[in-house]
Amino acid sequence: MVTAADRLRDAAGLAGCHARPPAAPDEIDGVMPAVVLEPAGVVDVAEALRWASSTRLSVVVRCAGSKDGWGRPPRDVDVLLRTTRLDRILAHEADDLTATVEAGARLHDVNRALATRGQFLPFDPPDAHLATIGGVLATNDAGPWRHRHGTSRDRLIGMTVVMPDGLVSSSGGRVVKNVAGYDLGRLMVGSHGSLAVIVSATFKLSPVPPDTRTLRIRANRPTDVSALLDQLRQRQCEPDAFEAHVAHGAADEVVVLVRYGSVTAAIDDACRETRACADLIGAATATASGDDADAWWRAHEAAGAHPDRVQLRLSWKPAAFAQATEFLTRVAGDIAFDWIGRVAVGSGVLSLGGDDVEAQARIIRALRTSDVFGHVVITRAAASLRRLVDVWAPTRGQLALWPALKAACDPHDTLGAGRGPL
Amino acid sequence: MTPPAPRTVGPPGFLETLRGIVGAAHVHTDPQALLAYECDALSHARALPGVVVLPAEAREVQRVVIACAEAGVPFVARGHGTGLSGGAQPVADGVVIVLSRLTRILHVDLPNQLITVEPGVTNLAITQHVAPFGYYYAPDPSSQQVCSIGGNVAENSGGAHCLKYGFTVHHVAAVQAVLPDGRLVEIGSDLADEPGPGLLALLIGSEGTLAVITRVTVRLLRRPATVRTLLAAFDSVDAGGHVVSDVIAAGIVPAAIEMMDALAIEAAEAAVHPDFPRAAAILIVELDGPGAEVEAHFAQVLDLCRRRGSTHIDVAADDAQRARIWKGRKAAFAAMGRVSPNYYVQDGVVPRSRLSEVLGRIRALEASSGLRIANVFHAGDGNLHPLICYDASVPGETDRAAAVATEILAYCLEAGGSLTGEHGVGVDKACSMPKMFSPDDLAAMQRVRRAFDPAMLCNPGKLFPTPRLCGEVPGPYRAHATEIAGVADRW
Ligand SMILES: Cc1cc2nc3c(=O)[nH]c(=O)nc-3n(C[C@H](O)[C@H](O)[C@H](O)COP(=O)(O)OP(=O)(O)OC[C@H]3O[C@@H](n4cnc5c(N)ncnc54)[C@H](O)[C@@H]3O)c2cc1C
Repeated sequence: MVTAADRLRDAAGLAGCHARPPAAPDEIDGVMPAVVLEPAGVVDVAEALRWASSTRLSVVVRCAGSKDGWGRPPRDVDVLLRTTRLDRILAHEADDLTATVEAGARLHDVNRALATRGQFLPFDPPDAHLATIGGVLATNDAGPWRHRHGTSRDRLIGMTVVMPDGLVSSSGGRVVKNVAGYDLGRLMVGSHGSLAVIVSATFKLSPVPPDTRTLRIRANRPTDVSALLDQLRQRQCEPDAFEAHVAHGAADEVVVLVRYGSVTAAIDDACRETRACADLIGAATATASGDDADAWWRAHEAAGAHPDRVQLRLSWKPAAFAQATEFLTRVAGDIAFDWIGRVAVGSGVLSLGGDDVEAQARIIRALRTSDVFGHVVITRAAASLRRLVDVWAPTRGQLALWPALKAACDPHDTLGAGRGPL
Repeated sequence: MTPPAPRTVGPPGFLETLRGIVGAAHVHTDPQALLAYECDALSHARALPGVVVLPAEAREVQRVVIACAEAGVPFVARGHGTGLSGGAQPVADGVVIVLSRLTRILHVDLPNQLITVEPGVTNLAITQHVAPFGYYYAPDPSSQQVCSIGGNVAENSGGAHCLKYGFTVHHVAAVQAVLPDGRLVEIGSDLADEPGPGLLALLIGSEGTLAVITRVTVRLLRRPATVRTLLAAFDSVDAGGHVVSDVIAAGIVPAAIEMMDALAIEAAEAAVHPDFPRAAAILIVELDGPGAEVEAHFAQVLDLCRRRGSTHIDVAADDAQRARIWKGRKAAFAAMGRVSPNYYVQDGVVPRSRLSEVLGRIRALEASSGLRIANVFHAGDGNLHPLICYDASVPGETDRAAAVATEILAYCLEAGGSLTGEHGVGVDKACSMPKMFSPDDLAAMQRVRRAFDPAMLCNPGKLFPTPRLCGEVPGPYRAHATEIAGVADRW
């Protein structure tokens, strides 16, 4: 019988991996790892994984832990590999609008550094103040900026990973246009650390807009939200974000936040057009910038992130926003919910109240089988609920490919401790 | 003359099986008919297939692939054969699956800005189909009138306007594909952000080596409010190159920035008379978006051009003038035939901030090699397309042109760039892959390939360096655990 102490003793031999015993915050969804490793460079990650896979240990990768609720309940975890010390910005080529950063770097720190040259990485997932680059990539999580800038997969141009057997592999490159070889970087985005460990990535950046402004529009019914979006399209307005918040029981009111970022004259035009569109649907409108606007955005995010509720990530048909609202209201019955998301993209989060896991499971199943919603992933829930309904619910296409992909990348099931998706 | 001996393809009965699937009229084995499929637009890389099949729909494609898988015969998917890297070059005596009969537009969903088509539909046909409603499909390869959307997906094709709008990978929502073992699967969906690893992104740009695409759903965009186009002339290529990084560094992302040098201008003038100024270089900059933003950025770009000493600036006053500028740009490639009997097109990428430097090295190479080199390219992305002019009737010149093309790629890689920005690796650059990727990088890609195609039947011999194609493959091959265990073996 190998004990945690034995593991720790073995791991101590890995120079540069900073092996230590676990502490309370290292618990992974109720399971305590035997050892925590904190490698500081790609060579150390490779050494750690070579050791772990050849000894048939199970490894979970984590950085800040802002997305720790994701996944199925884990099996035993031998090694927690923390990327915290991989936190450097390796390059910022401002004249190329690109940057290469390590996986453990915090999004906020990276963006603070890039801002000195008027550039940024347009990712704003929930809990962005905690999020790391590796975490954003591994989960492909996104926020309101998704509307204009896409997800981290869209901005990625190169990646270096370590495969479970220690093979270090780079794909893509540092230039914004490149079709040489397989796009393994984009493949890894969304894999939740179940195929390889992301060490660093290169992105196409965005210029920080010279000015921004937010409009808050209180639509009186869900169909008005679609009408508003349609009107803005007709008028060729190009918002940076178009978000809605639908709250359980709040009559039919939908709170919409629209943000513009551009030169001031263009924002003036866009805000005028948007107010005119809001007038057409008889919605009350307010405008803000700076701290006031930030407060609206914080409240918006918080609405979808009640700490003690079930949280889901989900997609819907953008044009079916009103049907989706109606469907959700019907299946939720008297269970409280808040649904926030990108109306034009059809993706966002749903937070579900109550403590009846059977009822929650019923709602999740209903959403998964509806014609308007899909890609319903449980991102936070009691283990009891996660045993009733699968966290991931892969599609047929995914079921056809995931096992072979997992076997090819991680033949000994070293990574992920069964948390999935692969 | 004795007729050529009938060729055998696959095991006995294989051709009959194929005929049973698609109908005898759509199975070609006659050498004369096969000649048409010997190569794509990289016309020097040829191989004669054993049989060409033209299925009519996805189910037929699936049955053809199943037949190939059962018979162990390699197959190559082919769209409209405009590829420039030999991706659709047949495997000698193998099967070519031509998708050109799959040309239906299956579903148009304007409210959700999606359109679903069969892979043989041309790129331009998609835009034409939705243009009356104010929508378009953004990626615009110069070959858009003739290339297939399936080929675009396989090559992750780009175009002049990809600077702002991204490449094929940014615009595909879902595909239906036949896996090499014959399973028909959907990857991606109408809904955004399918969870899990990016299988769709992996498939895009995999050059037909992982699956045969039988249906494609792409996103449509609305036309922008305002478009402004300018043409600025410079008395050095250097100055033009600097303007490109100045614009990017100023936080402006134009819809397109294209550059042409003197020789490219001369060729375009000879062909379509766009009335370009005679200059060492011209830049075409197009901005689009909301009116006030475009105006502000346009003024900035004009200023940046002047600061770098632009000798002449034309601003397109209307759509007709804009069309004339683009016509001159798009004609440049084909027009090279007017200034040189033969030319070789290279496709490499450099960081935008290194454009001037690399263009300078290319100019020096032009002088030392004695071969004229025209540059007409997607400057905003740093995607170079040097056209190396030569005369194949002069002994040795063809080889010298090829050597010059290879040298230019080396410059791109030394500057931190890429082997290819849009034409793909195919057979053309398979042997160059080790110059950009380490043996371990390539080994990881091979693992993924094996997950899809353990029997190595789906477009084998492309994209990766092989001993057959490249002689000694540099670097040690790293066997994977499953190989050591004897589960799978090497190509
Ligand atoms: C004059 C000219 C200009 C060009 N300009 C550009 C440009 O601006 N930008 C650019 O990116 N490219 C350009 N190209 C290259 C070419 O047009 C693109 O690569 C195009 O996407 C190829 O499409 P196709 O249908 O001709 O594919 P093919 O040449 O038939 O095939 C190309 C590759 O795709 C695979 N493939 C084709 N269909 C399928 C399918 N259904 N499923 C799986 N695999 C498939 C083939 O196996 C092959 O590997 C140009 C080519 C020419 C001749």
